[in-house]
Amino acid sequence: MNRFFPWVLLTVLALVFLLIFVGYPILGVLARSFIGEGGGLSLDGFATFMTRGRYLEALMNTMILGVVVTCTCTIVGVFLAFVVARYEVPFSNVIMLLPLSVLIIPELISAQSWVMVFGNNGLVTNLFDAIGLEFPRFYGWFGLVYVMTLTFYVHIFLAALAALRGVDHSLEEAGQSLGTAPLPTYLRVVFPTIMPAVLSSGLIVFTLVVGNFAISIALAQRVALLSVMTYQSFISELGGNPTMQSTLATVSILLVAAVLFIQKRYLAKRNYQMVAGRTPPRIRLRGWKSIVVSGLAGLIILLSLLPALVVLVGSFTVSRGPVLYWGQFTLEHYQRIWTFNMPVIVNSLKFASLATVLGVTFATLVSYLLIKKRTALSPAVDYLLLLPLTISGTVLGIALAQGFNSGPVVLTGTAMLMVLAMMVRRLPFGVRNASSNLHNISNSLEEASVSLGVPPMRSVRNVVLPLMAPGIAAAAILTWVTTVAELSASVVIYQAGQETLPIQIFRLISSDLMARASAFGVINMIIILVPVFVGIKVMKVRLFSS
Amino acid sequence: MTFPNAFTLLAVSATLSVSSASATLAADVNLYTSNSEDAVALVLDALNEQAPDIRVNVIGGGSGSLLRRIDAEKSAPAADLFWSSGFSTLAGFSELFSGYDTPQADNLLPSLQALDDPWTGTNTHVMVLMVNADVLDGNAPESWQDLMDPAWQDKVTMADPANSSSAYAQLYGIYQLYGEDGVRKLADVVEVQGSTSGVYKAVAQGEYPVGMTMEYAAQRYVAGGQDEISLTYPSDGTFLSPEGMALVKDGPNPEDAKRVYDILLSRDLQQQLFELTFRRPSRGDLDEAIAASGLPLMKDVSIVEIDQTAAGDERERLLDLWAEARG
Repeated sequence: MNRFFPWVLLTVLALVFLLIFVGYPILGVLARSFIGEGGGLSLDGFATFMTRGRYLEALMNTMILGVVVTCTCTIVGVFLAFVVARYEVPFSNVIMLLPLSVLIIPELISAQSWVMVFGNNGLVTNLFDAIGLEFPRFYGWFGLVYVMTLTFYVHIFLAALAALRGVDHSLEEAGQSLGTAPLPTYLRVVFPTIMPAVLSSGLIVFTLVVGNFAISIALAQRVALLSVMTYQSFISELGGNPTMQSTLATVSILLVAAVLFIQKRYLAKRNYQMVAGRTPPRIRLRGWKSIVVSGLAGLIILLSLLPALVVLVGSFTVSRGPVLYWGQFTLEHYQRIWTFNMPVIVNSLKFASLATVLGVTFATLVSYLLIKKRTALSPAVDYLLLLPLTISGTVLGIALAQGFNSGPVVLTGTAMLMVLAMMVRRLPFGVRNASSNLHNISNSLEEASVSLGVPPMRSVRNVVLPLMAPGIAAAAILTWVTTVAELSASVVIYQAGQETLPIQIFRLISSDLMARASAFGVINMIIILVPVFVGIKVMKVRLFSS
Repeated sequence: MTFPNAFTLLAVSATLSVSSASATLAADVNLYTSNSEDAVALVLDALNEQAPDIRVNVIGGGSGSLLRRIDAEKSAPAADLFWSSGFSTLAGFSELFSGYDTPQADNLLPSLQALDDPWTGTNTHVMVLMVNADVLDGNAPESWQDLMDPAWQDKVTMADPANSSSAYAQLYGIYQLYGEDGVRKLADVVEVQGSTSGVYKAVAQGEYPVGMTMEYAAQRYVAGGQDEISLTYPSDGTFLSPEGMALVKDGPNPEDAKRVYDILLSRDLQQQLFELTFRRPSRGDLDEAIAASGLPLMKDVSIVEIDQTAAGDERERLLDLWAEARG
């Protein structure tokens, strides 16, 4: 019987890989938070966390920020999804490009470009100043909530849009024909049915906010946040304290795990199955309603895309040291990159393409194994694949760097660790994309091929793989896009000579050399955009089908 | 099928980039440097002129990550020369370096010769108060002591001394001037940024009227034309934080590395580097260039001598005191 032979072996291999590169480093972080400076078992790390400095305050701030941004993202995302799903608005084609804007504009750049607009020396702030009005202070809560909302609402928008399109219109009609007014019908019938989708995407937003590093470090000057403290504990110029690094990492893992648990409990009680209904017709709005609705939606879209524009202009703007001279243009920043920084671009391309090839190969294999060839080991693989979702990039970076700096496998400082960090971080998304249409591929096709005498492996290659191809292509593009923009894990593990574009941007922004950072930002966006464009236009890949 | 094409493309680009990245290792002197790339470009130009036979391979990065890399490579050193980091940071890695008695030492300021250490001073930071006149109500502070007035609460910022070596130098200097009491008063007033760069960015952006930072960092804004920014040298004396370079022990090419070392300390190059970066040179014969830049001469600045060794020894105790005073 070789019916199971290659699949069990492959599942074991996948499990071993995940145990070594996901399970072991994360468990290591958790364990090290209970080890004191002397090496023995101790709760010193947590005692320090509870009693000293601003750690507790940072935890509170992080939770408040997570909840607030999740709420604002829900409002913006659901509103926009509703408008797009139900009304004919003039720019619905542009709206479908929105999710891309978030993918192509690295968070770091969007934070910094908003500083250039609303910061104390920003364009709008100065404009307000000129007409004698005071613009509210952007650094701190206002800026954090504002930029994070504009960066993360897209996740909820996509989920809500998919759910709204799936709502059977006859339910609504039933409600209204029974005498309920339109608004209560929405509230009692439509919103409960899209709730599970909104909540799951809301959870993603919450984890993104809690783990966010790039926006936090740019704007949280007066607000203590856990992610920034975690990073700083690791990157301290004077050598960090491993116990404290692990403790901070553990706290953020526990925070996300707790929220994940609550959400699962809530969703378990609510399950709506739509019987393939008909999509409601889109209504054409008239008069002031049309102006208000399309105006608001248009504003959201404009604001989402503005950072890209600011960066583009900034990259051509004359600067002397940190000071920018708006309105004077130069190619100098690009010339400097050409002369000095080609290795940075090469690093980015090299690491991201390796991570993409490895990640997508692994994701394809694992999703096939998990869906078509389940064994007793499959649940373990399922759970290990969830783990990278619960930890922020910074924590993953710390886990990998600490986990592999001694012992049998020493990887700290090698380019391989950079690739691994990028790959592992995006693995859950890759698997989800690669498996998206696997459920719909009937087993009988493959069985037919096997029963006609084609060996199992070749049957997979000739029958299943071609059918999976669209999902794999989507996984490849999304993995590429996110690894090229990856900062928070790579910035804690990179070594001299391994700088990628986002790391270089981060370092330039740290030294306040915004114009030069912008030029790198434009190159980063181009590298991200080209495969996306080719994928959508040439290969007709549907990126956001899930 | 269209998708295998995308895969081939990815694979091809991966192989291409791997091969082009490995072609950079054939240089003669391997320079590990934390200096900005425009500063490095100046040095490469000067070397090209004065020692055209030497090929220099530059690895750039943060000084911490470079030093850790040199440490990781110590069984088979790849680096020849490390340029540059603070004396106190270098002290933590001194076993990685081998000393070199450069003939240029006589031209350096005495405090930067570092004759007993395996490194040589290249430049020195001067701690200053960076002031943003746009958001300042009333008079600017004149001294460290002024800052201890509760009236400055929420208006002054410094970097976290636990993370930033320059902020620690400031804290230690204030401790030396005003003792534990001064440290406690400062802790009550000042707002702390996570990193060194957070301070000058926040002041330049008008988030705080006053920041404790380094001369060169603040001067970049003045020279760039941001008129509201100015530098104050505290009247009760400021502190220096010297930086140095060092030969890496058992580096592959020590003889050529020594030539690079000497050129890095030469008058022309030090002057050009100063004019580019505003980091005060270690040579004593560049007063003209300093005066031309608008910065005061060293002899006109009141300076408190700091014993770098004592500062290092007291670090843990002082940081504990600081953490406790901050609450």
